[in-house]
Amino acid sequence: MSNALSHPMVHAYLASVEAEAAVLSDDRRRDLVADLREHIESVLPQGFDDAEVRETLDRLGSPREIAAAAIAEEPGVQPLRPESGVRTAVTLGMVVLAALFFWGAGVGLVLAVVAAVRIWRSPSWTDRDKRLGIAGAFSPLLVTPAAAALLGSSGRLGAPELLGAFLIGTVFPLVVAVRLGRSAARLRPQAA
Amino acid sequence: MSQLRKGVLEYCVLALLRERPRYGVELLEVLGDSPVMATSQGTLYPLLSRLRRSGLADTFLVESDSGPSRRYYRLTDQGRQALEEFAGQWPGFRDAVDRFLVTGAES
Repeated sequence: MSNALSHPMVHAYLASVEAEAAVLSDDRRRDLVADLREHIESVLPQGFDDAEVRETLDRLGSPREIAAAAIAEEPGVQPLRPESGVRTAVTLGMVVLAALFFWGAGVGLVLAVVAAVRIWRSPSWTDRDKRLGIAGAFSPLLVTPAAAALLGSSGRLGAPELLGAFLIGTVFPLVVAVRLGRSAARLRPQAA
Repeated sequence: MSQLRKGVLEYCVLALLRERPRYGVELLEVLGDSPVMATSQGTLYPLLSRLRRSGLADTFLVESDSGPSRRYYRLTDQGRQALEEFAGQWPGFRDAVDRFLVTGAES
């Protein structure tokens, strides 16, 4: 038995297939990666070298191409498509700004709703990412008051405590925005 | 061309399974001998997966002395039927295309 699967190039390749096939159901994606893993293991000779690994992966094809073939076999599954960087930036900017303004005159709530709609309608994210993004947009609704209650529990609730609560409420939306920003950026042609 | 290839490739795979079960790498080797059928190897696996899920082929594992166990694909009755149907229509299809191509060249 070779240790083909622990080779860094193989590892990176399979991870890339998995990322490109993100829109597939977990089952389907797991099957695809398992098939490729089995293929790689069985074609690499004993005591393979880097060149042989590279050749094996080249002949398999690019992760994007293979994922596209797998997605094409699934009726009803739409492949992810890139959207403009500006569009993504506006959407995710709204997610973060919504958190900062959530409890000010409803501006944040409006931003969160608009951001959620833009996330839902974008072709660039998987359903899982979309749910995460929408959860991120609305999370300050719960997190910020909870943080304020916690910070204010020892004494009175002043400006520093409120500011702290808003900042805490912004952490999750920020993390979500970075994650979604990365997955959208990966789809843009120059990132291939 | 790639759409056409994709369309007929699955019947080529079914035909290769007609005589006996084969495993993925084996199928790729035979297909690789016909450059016109050659695609990136990895794209065969989603096709095999669909053949299995749609009941045209099923699979079984066989232990291998060298390396991991191999997943063999075997034609089901349904697959055999689909293959026969295709094999029956293909000559007419091929001749019609040839006819159009030749007429197109003359006019």
